[in-house]
Order: sequence, then structure tokens, then C-alpha cells
Amino acid sequence: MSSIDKINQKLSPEYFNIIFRYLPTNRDLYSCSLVNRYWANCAIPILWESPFKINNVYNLFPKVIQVYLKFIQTEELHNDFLVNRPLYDYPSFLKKLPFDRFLNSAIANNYPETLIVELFKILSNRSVMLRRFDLSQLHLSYDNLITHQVLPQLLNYSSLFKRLSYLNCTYYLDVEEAQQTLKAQIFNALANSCHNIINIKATVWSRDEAIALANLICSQKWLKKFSLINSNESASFSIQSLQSQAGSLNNLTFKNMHRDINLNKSLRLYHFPTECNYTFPNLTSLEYIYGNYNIHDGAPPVEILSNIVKTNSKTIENIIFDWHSRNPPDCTQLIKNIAECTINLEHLKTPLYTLEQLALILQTQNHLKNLDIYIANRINPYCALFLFINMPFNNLKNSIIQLYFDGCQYHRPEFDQLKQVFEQIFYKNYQIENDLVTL
Amino acid sequence: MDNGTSNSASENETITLKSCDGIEFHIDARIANRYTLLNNWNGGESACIPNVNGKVLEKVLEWCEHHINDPQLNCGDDDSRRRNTIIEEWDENFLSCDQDMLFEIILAANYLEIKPLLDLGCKTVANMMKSKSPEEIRSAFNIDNDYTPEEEEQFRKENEWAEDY
Repeated sequence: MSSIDKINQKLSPEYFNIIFRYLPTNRDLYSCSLVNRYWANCAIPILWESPFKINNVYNLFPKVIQVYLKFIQTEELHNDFLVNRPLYDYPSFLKKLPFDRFLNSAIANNYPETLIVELFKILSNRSVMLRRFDLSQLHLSYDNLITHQVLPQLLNYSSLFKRLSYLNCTYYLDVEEAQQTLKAQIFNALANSCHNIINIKATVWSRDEAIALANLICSQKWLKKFSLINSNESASFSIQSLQSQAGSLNNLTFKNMHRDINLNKSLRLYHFPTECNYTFPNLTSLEYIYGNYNIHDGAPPVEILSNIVKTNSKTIENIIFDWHSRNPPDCTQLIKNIAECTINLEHLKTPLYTLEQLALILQTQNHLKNLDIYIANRINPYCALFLFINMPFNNLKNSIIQLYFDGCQYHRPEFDQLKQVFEQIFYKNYQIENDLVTL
Repeated sequence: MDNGTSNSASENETITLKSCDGIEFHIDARIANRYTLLNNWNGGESACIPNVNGKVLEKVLEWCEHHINDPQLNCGDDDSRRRNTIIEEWDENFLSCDQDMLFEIILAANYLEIKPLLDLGCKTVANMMKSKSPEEIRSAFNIDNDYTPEEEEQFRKENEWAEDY
């Protein structure tokens, strides 16, 4: 070690653990691990926490697997253990397993099922405890043995999931029946083995799945974030179970709820359970996002969203509502609740259908950091913009404002007229620093 | 580390802190209110902060004073990788010091449980490493390579996947 090697003299491994986690790429970590042995000891455990989250599946996946395979070989051929021993016990560092990418990569590279099972035995033998498990992008068919044999075997290693804090189980398979059985099995198995999940993202399409998900939700100690993605009305069972996490839940998201046009079964509207108690004392973020904009028929559950906003109005800081319905829903009460009940709102994205609604928001929510409004085609864009011109001085100071005008076929603005309007906005309300308008 | 307490002290209140080499600092009580450990050393005469000398404590307190009105964020998951290397201009200028002082600030921030400053210091060091080759990093921090050629070759082979990503 050089006499002026101050960084290694002063900073212990705990500091390198923080520093290296700020490196933006694996390549940076790799370079640091090649500096010297001390740095490698700090960098390698971080680098190998998530080796399967790679984009170049065809070239890189085999390179990672080859290293893992050495551990199968050494464990099977004990005499050879010291000869080709890897420098680190790499599999023991695994914390994040994107199982979907892992399986898809294994299939793309023609790895046999038995090999994959062996790889998981390596993890189990090392008492690896995953923090994150992803099953979101499986593109497998019912007949695929890997899905139906490997995954249940993996779930048998219950210690692997004991410290899981993030679960993403939003995949669907081609054959609905297979998906339902397997996913309910996953939720029930995890409900038995892990109780420390903070963030769950899930898709449910059947009663069995939804009940199993409810079981998983109820078995957690402090669930903070829950996202329901691309699900149907079966999810009501799961939604009701969220009350078991009322003390900890701070983030509630419904995403792509009207998205899926490719499923064989015709999409039915998702309904929230109306009898449910939606009081979450720590809720700070509420999102309801439509998904595919080509589907205009589904009405969002405005009444329920309105109730959630009202009952959690003291804590909510972030509201994102994003839907494009052909028949605009009656949002009067919802907008009124946002405008008049919330006291800590910082970010608001919502569609608005009348000038009164826009005026109410501008009048009451004048301290937002972000205001993102979809202005329906019933509203004359000039009238909407004039509301901004006439805003009191200092309203929405330092806010980032984005306005989306839908259609405007009845009031298509001329460029020159628009220019005049904006000149007035900037002249009279020069506090609007960043005003983006999309027509 | 942020303790989540509110800044109940008024602007005029001051407290006295003493560095390990006996230099006294009179600081806004609201700063001490944000960081429990600083508050613990309030008391002047006999109470001094061990392990942090006057030069370093002055820098740490300068940073605390500048960020006195920052929102107190909850600490995130310490196990996760941040990948965000953006540093505000004032902070960047503040930490444009020699490496010795930078490491001392990091150590002091950790000792005094001022987590945002600890993270900032570590991020600054990370920025000094990013996009550099192992040789360039060794040169930047005056570090010797202690790998044998065989060991380095094996290491490169086992971690080849990360080089491409």
C-alpha cells in the first residue's frame, strides 16, 4: 500500500459500501473491484446482488451462469474444489432475482430445466435471502415445464424469501387456467414464508388469485406500497384486505386498469368494493391510471376515488389520476374534495371537464409543486388560459405546470392568438417559471 | 442522521459546541435540533466533540447552516443502489477541497450522524471514480495494485459480464 493511500487508510469498508452504491453502472463497480483486493472485497458483494438484471440476454447471461456453474461442479466434484475455486462465493451475494428475466434468458440460451433447479439449490445451500423478487414479464406457454416445475420448487425453499421486501408479481400467461393456479400458489406460499414485504405489485384475474393475494397482504407486518396492475373486479377481495395494513400503507396505485385488449376474455370493468373502509392514516400517494388510451369505454371509479381523497385528505401529497373516457365521468365531487379537503397536496395530475373545476383547483391549490392537467375538449382553451392570466399574484409560484388540451376541434387556437395569451401569462404572472403546453 | 424532530428553537437561540482541539462554535440552535448528536454536546465548558477537530467541524457546521431549511427526508433503503450522481452546485463547490478534508468530512458526518452530508460526501467520492479505468482510479487515489497477474486474470474472467454492462 502506498504511503499516501489515504482513502484506504481513512475509510473502512462500511464507507466503501455507501460510496460504491452511488456508482451508476456495473462497469464502474467492476473497475473499482479491479483497483486492489481491498476494494474488490467491498465492491463484489454489491456487484453480485443482482447479476441477472441484464439487458444483453444472449451474450451476458451465459457469462453469469458459467460462474454459477462452477459452484455446481465444485460441490459435485469435491476433489476438484481447491483447483478451480472461484475467487468469491458469488451466489451467496444474490439479493435481487428478476425471475422472469432469469427464466426467459435460460430458455433463450437453451439451458435445461434440471440445470436451473440445480442453480436454485446453490442459493438454498448458501442460505441466500432475497430482498426483491420479480415475476412480471413471463412470456411462457402452459406447456412450458420450466414455469410449472421450477417455480413451485423454488417456492419450497421458503428461507429464500424470508426477508423479501419487494414483490412484483404482475405477469400473466397465455393460458388463463395455468396462470390462476400458479399465481395463487405463489401468493399463498409467500404468505407463509415472508412477512416483511414493504412493496407489492400484483395482477389478479380470478377469485382464487385475489383471495391468495389478500392472504399475502394480511400476513405482512408493515406493507407501505401496494400497486394493483391490469386487474379485473376479482381484485376486490385483495383491496378489502388492505385495511389490515392501514397503519403502514402510504402509497396506493391502480395502474393499467383498462389496458388489456389482448386477453381472450372480454374485459369487464373493474369495480372497487363500495363497502370497504378506505381510511389509511399515513397515505401520501394515490394513483389511478387508465393505461392504454385506445380504450375509452371504461369509467373510472370516481365515487370511490373521491372517498379515498376525502378520508385521507390530511396526509395525501401526491394525486395522479389519468384516464381518457369517451363519456366524461362526473368528477364534480372528486375535484371538490381535492380542492377543498387536501391540505398537504404537492403534486396533482388530473383530467378536468369544466372551467369551474379548473378555477376551483387554481383558487385553492395555489402552492403545488407540480400541476399536470388534462383539459377536456369541452373547455375552450382560451378560457382555460385566461384563468391562468387572472390568477392572483404569487399563486403557483415556482410550480411546474403542464397543460394537455384534448382535441380543441371546436376552438382550434391560432398561433398568433396563442402567442398573445402566453405573453399575457408571462407578463402578468411572471412567477410561472416553467409552463409547458401541449396542443 | 435526521431525527425527524421539528425545528422548535427560534432563530435567535444559539448553542455552543467545542471541537476536540478546543475551538468553540456558536451555532443556531435550530441546527442542533435537526441532529441529535450535535444537541447532545451543547453545554460549552467541559463538553467537547471528540474525534472532530476545529477545521473539520467548521466545515460541517457551514454545511448544516446552509441546509438548515431543507426538508427532513426519511432515510431510504440503505441496501439499494442509488445510481443518482447529481450534486447541487453549492454542495459541489463546498466539497471541492483536498481529498484529506473530504474524507474527514465524511468521517465526521458519520460520527455526528448527519446522514445527508455523509451521503453527499460519499456521492462526491463516487463521482471521482465513475467512468474511470482501474488504472485511472488508482492514480486518482494513489493506490497500489496488489493483485498477482494470475489473480487479476481470473478476476476479470469471473466478472466479465459486468465489464460489458
